[in-house]
Amino acid sequence: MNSPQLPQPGKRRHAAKGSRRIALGLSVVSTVGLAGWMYSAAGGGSTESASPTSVQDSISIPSTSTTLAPTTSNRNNSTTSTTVVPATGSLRDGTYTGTSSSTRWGPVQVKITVEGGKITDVQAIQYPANDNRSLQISRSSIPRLVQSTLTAQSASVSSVSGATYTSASYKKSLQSAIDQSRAKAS
Amino acid sequence: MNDPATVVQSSHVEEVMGTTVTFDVRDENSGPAISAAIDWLHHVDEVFSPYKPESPISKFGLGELTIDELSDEVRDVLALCDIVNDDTNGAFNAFAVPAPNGSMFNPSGLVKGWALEISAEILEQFGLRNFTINGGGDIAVRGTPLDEDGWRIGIRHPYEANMFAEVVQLRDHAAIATSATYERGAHIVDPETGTGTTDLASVTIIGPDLTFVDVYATSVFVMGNEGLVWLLDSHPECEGFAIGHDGFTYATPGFSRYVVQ
Repeated sequence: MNSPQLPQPGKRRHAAKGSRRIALGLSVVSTVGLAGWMYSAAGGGSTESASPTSVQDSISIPSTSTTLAPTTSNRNNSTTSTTVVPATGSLRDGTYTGTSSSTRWGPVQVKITVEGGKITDVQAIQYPANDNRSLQISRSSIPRLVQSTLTAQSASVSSVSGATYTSASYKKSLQSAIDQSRAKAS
Repeated sequence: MNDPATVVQSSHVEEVMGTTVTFDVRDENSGPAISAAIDWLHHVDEVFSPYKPESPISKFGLGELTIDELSDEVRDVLALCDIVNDDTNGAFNAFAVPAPNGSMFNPSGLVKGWALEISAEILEQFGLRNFTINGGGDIAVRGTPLDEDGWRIGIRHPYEANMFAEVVQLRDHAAIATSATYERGAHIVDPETGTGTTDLASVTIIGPDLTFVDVYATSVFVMGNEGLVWLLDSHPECEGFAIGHDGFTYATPGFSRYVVQ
């Protein structure tokens, strides 16, 4: 309305190219996707056999062709170790840059930082879009998929935001479990 | 922060508006306030439910009531529907959503957040300062839990019902809403196509007012991958977080300040 740049939902379906251009801002790989990516690299490309959790079964891993290549970072001017990821799947500290992989929106290249054996940062270092606003959307932190069972999380999480549940599905929901634990405690 | 032992906590779970609403209050003497808010929500259900053939909303959708015959609160909601339809370039159009009675007017996607936000105002009018109201996953926040800096809220993982994709902390006067299709199938309809939308697995919006936060979550979901750019351009008062079916997540620049590290 007040901006000619605002997306037109009806048009985007017929303008796939424009959609792609805007779409990809992201820099963030989900932990699940990344875990699959890492294990894929560690296992010499065998993605399926290395899936560490059941979650991966339900999430498509972004790329089939990604391999880890320890590199010298051209962003931070910091030389990184030429560590090879052990086949066990545990991670050596350092910074790793994935080869450019294609997504349905265009090429993306990802750099990860491993500290203490855990991935502590993920950054997309190659963006398919030149749209500044899309770049603003980009973030470079890992969305953590918090392993949440009631015992682990009820102490600190007081509410769950999710798509609207019906009264029936509420009974099976995490929110219901939290409510019940609260009722017992009080 | 107060001594946790001195923090009063009362909660109430109410089935209303086709979902379940949880009140979590950390102030004393919350009973009358919660009762008043519950009465309000049941009143909203009577007036605005598209599932009740006799509700004014149902009758208006079928043309059995004119706009002049509607009460002020219903006209307020109609005005809000117009505002958000313009605001979202039609991504949120209450006149393009099928209702159970066969009409194409269904403002439910706005009414719930609006009703919950007013519920929060009702609690405040009774003097309550620290509470959350969670209506089917859409949450109005006030104050703090007293024993902590803010309310920790898990954003449900779109594929794993018992996992969080992210945990955020909100306080004072805030709202959070998530749109996704994992619970009710493709219940979010793209007004342009009349079909369900599938680009994103989940969209979460944080902002000051649940009425709009809820609508924007739905709208960004409908807009798909361009939705967060729209939010960034149009609503700097809000932050957004989306999970794509591609395994990537997307967030506006200010979202990270809410994330619990």
